[in-house]
Amino acid sequence: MSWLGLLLTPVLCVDQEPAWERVEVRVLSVQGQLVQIDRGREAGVEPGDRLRLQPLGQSERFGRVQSVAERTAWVLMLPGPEGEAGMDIGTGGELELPAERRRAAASESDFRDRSGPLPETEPRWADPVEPTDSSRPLLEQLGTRPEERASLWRGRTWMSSYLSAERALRDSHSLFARAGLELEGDNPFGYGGALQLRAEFDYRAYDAEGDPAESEPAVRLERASYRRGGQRFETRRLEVGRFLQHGFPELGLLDGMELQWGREDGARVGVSAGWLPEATQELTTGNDFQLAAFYRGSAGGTALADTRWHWGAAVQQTWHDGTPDRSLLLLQSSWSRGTTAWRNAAWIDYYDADDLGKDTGLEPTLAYSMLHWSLDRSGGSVGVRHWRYPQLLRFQAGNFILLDLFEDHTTRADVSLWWRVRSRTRIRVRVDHWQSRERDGSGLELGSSWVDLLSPGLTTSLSAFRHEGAFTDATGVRLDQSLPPWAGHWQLHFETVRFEENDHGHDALEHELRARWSNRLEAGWSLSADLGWRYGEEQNNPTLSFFASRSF
Amino acid sequence: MSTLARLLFACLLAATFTVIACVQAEFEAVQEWWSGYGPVVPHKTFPGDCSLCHTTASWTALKEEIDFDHEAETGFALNGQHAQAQCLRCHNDRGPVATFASQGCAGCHGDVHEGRNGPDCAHCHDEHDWQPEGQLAEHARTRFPLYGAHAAASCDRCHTGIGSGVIEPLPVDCASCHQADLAMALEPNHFEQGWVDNCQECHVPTVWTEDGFRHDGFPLTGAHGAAACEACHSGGAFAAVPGECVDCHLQDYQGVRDPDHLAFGYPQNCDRCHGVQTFAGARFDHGWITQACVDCHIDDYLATTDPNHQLEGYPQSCEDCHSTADWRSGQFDHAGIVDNCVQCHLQNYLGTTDPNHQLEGYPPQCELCHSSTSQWRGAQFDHGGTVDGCVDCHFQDYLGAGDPPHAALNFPTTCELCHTTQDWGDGEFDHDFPIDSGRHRGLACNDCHQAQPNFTVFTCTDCHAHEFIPMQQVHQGVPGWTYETAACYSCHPDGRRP
Repeated sequence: MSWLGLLLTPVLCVDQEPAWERVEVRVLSVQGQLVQIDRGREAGVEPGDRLRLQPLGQSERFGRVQSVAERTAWVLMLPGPEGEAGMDIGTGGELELPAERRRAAASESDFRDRSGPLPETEPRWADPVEPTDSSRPLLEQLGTRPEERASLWRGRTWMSSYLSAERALRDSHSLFARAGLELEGDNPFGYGGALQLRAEFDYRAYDAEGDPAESEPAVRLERASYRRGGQRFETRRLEVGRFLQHGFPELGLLDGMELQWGREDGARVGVSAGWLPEATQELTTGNDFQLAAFYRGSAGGTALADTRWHWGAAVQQTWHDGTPDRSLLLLQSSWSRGTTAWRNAAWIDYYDADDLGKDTGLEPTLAYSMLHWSLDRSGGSVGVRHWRYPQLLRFQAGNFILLDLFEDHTTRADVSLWWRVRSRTRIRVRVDHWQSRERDGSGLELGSSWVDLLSPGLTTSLSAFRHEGAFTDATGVRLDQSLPPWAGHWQLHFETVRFEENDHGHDALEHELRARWSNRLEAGWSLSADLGWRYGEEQNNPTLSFFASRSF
Repeated sequence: MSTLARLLFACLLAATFTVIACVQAEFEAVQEWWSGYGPVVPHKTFPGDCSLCHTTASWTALKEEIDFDHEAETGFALNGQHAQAQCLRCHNDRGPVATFASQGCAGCHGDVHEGRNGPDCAHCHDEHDWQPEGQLAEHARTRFPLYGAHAAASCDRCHTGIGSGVIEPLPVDCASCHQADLAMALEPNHFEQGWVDNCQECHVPTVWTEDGFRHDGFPLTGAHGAAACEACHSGGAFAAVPGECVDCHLQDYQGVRDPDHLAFGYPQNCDRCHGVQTFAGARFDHGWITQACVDCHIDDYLATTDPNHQLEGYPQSCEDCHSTADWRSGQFDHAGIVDNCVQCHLQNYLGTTDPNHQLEGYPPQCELCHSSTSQWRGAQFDHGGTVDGCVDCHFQDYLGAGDPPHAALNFPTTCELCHTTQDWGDGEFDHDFPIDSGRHRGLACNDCHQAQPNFTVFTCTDCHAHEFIPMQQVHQGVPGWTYETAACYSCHPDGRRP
């Protein structure tokens, strides 16, 4: 029967299509022995398919497809010969896929050859190319999902130190030193998401003549959370750990979880549960439990110059050691258009008969409304702020005078305006008035700043002010001068102020002289140092501080 | 820990940080292809000119210097650290960047201040290193400008949550922060005294101890400032301590003998006369005096010698001449006194020498010449009704006159012949022989009276040179004629022919 096969073979060979099909691929990313290629399900790739890469100047490398996405796939490569470098992004190769599978899969991508040179005469597009689905970003179909990306870590380390000594009437010294590390990792575990860590070591020391010395080192864990979602691939967002609540930061730092959903109209709804760490040096937690829910909405254009509205509301109930504590309603709204914005917020507490020193019902604890604008030659802001002392088990220290404080309130209104009278000259004025239950006061500040007044590129600023406080009025003059750059930026500050005590006519003339240096270096370094001296009739207070941080 | 130790600790911390920072992961260039993101998405809001960012070598190679005016194209200026940031930090999967940028800084940067400091982050932060500057100046705009110990204190001593970014408004009442100081204030015990609020009434921010203590309820000036608290606040009593001088100085009041406060019934409000520096040098306040001056000033009355009150019989009604404002400039009130001046001014009368009243027998009726009770000198004698007898008062003037010498020339003592009461010095001499007219006008006295000071002797013939023989012939038959000046005068008293 072999002669029959010989006779039929040409017929069979002519009439049958190839069984395998080679598909060209390129490496998109490398993670150890894993490489990501630019072919996925739409090209017919499946786990188990065999890949052959041809690195330039190296021997061929082989691997097996491990996971497949729509347009990409991860491949586990076999170890290469010793002495050879790893895979490079852009390395070319090919997959052998069953032809039948290929035919059943989507057609090839138009962007197969992305590494080719751009036509040099390609005209500039007046508008971005619209995708087939205008609601999705351009090139989205090529995008990698967060869980498909290599882990990416970035962060910052910092250190600061502040020394102060007072020698006028009673010797005292204080030191506040900090060193911290912040890390943020995208897709740290291969499931997408992000990990955030932030820790800080603090050291505080204080001693004064006649008082026992105090020193207090502390290690603070400020952030330790993992979050997923909240982006275009997954609008539902979940965060667990210790984090600043994302939906409404006004709700505070939380040791717990927050879950929010994004709606098609851009609104977000969320809930959170967990413990509120005390706003102390140690961030102790476990005493105050909270449940919260929020809603945020927005409307308007997507460009900064467009008019946009944002609004939001949140409710929070806390328990202090099991006892119902705070019942808080948060309201927010903002309107913006270009560089003009109007923002409002209100914290409204609900008190019942169990709240000592407060009337039953709603009471605004904090509220503000601020309008801010900045034009080419002028700008300013107008703001109103109201504040009361809240009744919270969380922060009380058993102070018998708190009952009196609960009745106190402060309302402040201020207006700030600036004009650029010439290209290098700006004048500013600020007026404010505040009123509390028993006292009130006003403030006025006039100032001007000049660029190139003393020397090209240097800024000079002069202002005169008077502020009326609850017990002390301050009247003075302030001068700031930048110096020629030398190994960084230098700034000098001088201030002379007369402080007048309202209740008994005591006054004192005090001055401040300060020099500040700052510099930003390559590789993410940021450095600054500050040397100051406050002196006068009743003050002799030298200070020294420096700050260094590196972002990576 | 000493200041030097703190400084060394801070430097060690800086060195440790430097070592840690130097071994961090390799820093990537500002704008670089990230393998983790693959083809960068989303590009929808990016400009359509790919060559702005991408090179022709490869999609994965981005330009080192991307020439793109972000502010002009988007309205959002990239200043400070924003200019250094990678595009993907803002333009990423979260959504259209304008959605977040339109919410201000908090749209991208989690607000660690939990919204309590308002929406304007630029108030304290800039885009260069985010480090807040000018906090004391910002604090001066609040209800509580900082100076003294408050300015030297680190922020966390009052704003305990600042380490977490929580800087909410605080009550400015002193007691809200100084509870520990209040509890430790035992001398005096503030709690027992009920001093639990309004600390600013006594304390100032520059120093909390007694150096900054204010005692405005009773200013501690002069000697009071040096006194110990217990000197007034005995037994720890601070409340309702009486503030009158005598409450503390009663023993001083009772013990004073010069003057005897108790005997004279001095009022007990010591500050009427005494200051706070010292009790000595008190200035007496006569406002309350009801008794006679001499009751207190009898010694002054007896000791005064100019004039000698006692000798001259001055009345003891001191107030007649003296005021309480100035004792020495006593002025006698002559109101109602019209005569009998000599009763008080006898010594003046006896002591006057020019003119010597007593020697010249002036009448002791002072009021005849001394009409003004405000000025003793410049007396004017009232000559009204006096027509003669001038020499009775002016005899010394008569004796003393030298031009002409009245007494030597045996002038008559009838002064009224030449003198008037209006002007003594300008007496008019009544010369029988006319000397005011004719040829005798303007002659000097000694032209005729050549035997001065004897004015009774005069000559006519020196000027009128008549010879004897012709005169004899002219005067023939004139009985009693002799060739003598007197004879001439007897017939020719007016110088004319008879």
